[in-house]
Amino acid sequence: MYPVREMCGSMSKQCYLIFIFVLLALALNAEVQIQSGLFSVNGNGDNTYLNQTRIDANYQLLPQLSLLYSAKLDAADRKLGNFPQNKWLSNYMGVDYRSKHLQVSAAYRNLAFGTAQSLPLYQEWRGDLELARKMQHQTQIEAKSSFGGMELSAFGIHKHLDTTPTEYVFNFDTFEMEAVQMPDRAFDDAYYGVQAAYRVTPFLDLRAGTDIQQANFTKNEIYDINTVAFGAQLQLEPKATTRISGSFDWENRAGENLEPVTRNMFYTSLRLQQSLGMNINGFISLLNTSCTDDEMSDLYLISNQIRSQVQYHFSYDPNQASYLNAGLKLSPEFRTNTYFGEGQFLLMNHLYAMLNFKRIERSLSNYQAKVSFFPSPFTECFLQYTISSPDNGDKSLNYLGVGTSIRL
Amino acid sequence: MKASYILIIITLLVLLLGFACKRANLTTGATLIIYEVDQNNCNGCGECIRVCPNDAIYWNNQGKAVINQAKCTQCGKCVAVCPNSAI
Repeated sequence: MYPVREMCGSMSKQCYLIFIFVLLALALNAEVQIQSGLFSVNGNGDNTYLNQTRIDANYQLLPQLSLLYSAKLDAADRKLGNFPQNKWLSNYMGVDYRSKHLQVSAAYRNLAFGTAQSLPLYQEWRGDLELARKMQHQTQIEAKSSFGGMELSAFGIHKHLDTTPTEYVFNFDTFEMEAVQMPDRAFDDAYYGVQAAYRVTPFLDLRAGTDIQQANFTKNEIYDINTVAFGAQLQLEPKATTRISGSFDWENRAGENLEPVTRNMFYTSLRLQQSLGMNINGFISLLNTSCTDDEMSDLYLISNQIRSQVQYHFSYDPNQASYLNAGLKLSPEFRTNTYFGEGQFLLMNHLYAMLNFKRIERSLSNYQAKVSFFPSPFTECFLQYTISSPDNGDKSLNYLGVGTSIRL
Repeated sequence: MKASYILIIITLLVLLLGFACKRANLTTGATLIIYEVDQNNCNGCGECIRVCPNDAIYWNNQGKAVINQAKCTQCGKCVAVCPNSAI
């Protein structure tokens, strides 16, 4: 049924590993949360089923040391919406150490792309190749030290991607392009950097940092970027109900594959967060992203953006879980304005209804209705209906499903 | 008081950059599209990593998505799948 069977095999092994991790977490008396839903999907072709499962576990080994585990699985019989894979599994395992002056974290992530389709990966480098992603492994480490008003941090990330390449060659006998599957190939990326931040006053932070992004599979280093950044951030609380923050960051980037005008980037932001009493909270933020070339001869606007959100909590719900939430993101330059609204209401004891709407201009509209029953504060059973309607002419996808969430 | 002055300066910077840049953009006629992840809104779900056809997105140490600008081809597929409109 699936064209690339061995990829599914590796995913099955990973699923068994997840069960072992969950059993281990339960044996260790860790905090575990499991969410799972099964949806019937129709529209734009045949009907199919989608299973979405997520597991999170947190185990406090010592007061300063915690272990974290997270897994997320999406499995369907066919490609859905924009996603190029039918199946997708993401795993995260991390260890976190925190003391008064030192914080160290190390983690391993992997992504199994399941029944991956051929993708034009790295088309700027090898346009005649299509590479199907099989598995991605990422290891990362970060250390942060703070003393006085100074904070120093350093990080390193290594990413390893396994792929199956397909080369397209012209057949002079048939005068057609032929797809030739090549031996599996891996691609390695490395990202590392350091950052220093200094708290000048209780409301003003200055920061500086540098990082290097390396793609170690090309000889000509076209995907490498070196970045140097400086920034300042201000946070004020003139009243207990008002918080104002602003920041300005400058990034200088050097990389062969970067547009010259994106060598110097400027990020400026302003944010006002206000609690209006009567259970109303909201914020408005302005973001400006601009850039210049190396000579700083001209200034180019990338985008101005306004984000705003208002939330109202209904006081009739003793659990404070009934609310209305509405927001927008306006970006005149990109013309991809986003509007969303969300409401959750207590209908009767332990029974909630949720309605959700989201519209991204020139992209898609999503509508969702959900009814949840909470037999206990840690358990949820839900019935959910979602319509995802893209603007690209494809038919809408309708998801109808049931699911549960359990915290152990 | 100092903080208020700094805040006023940042406000002016936002406004000046917004207007000054727009003029520069109009005179050159350049159209720039750069996708960046708003770190404050990213929930680290990885949907953008899943759809990116150029392997240009990775997780940083905080579990937030970061776009490698050298690999990004500005296809915009990540924008449509981001549940938090963070891109």
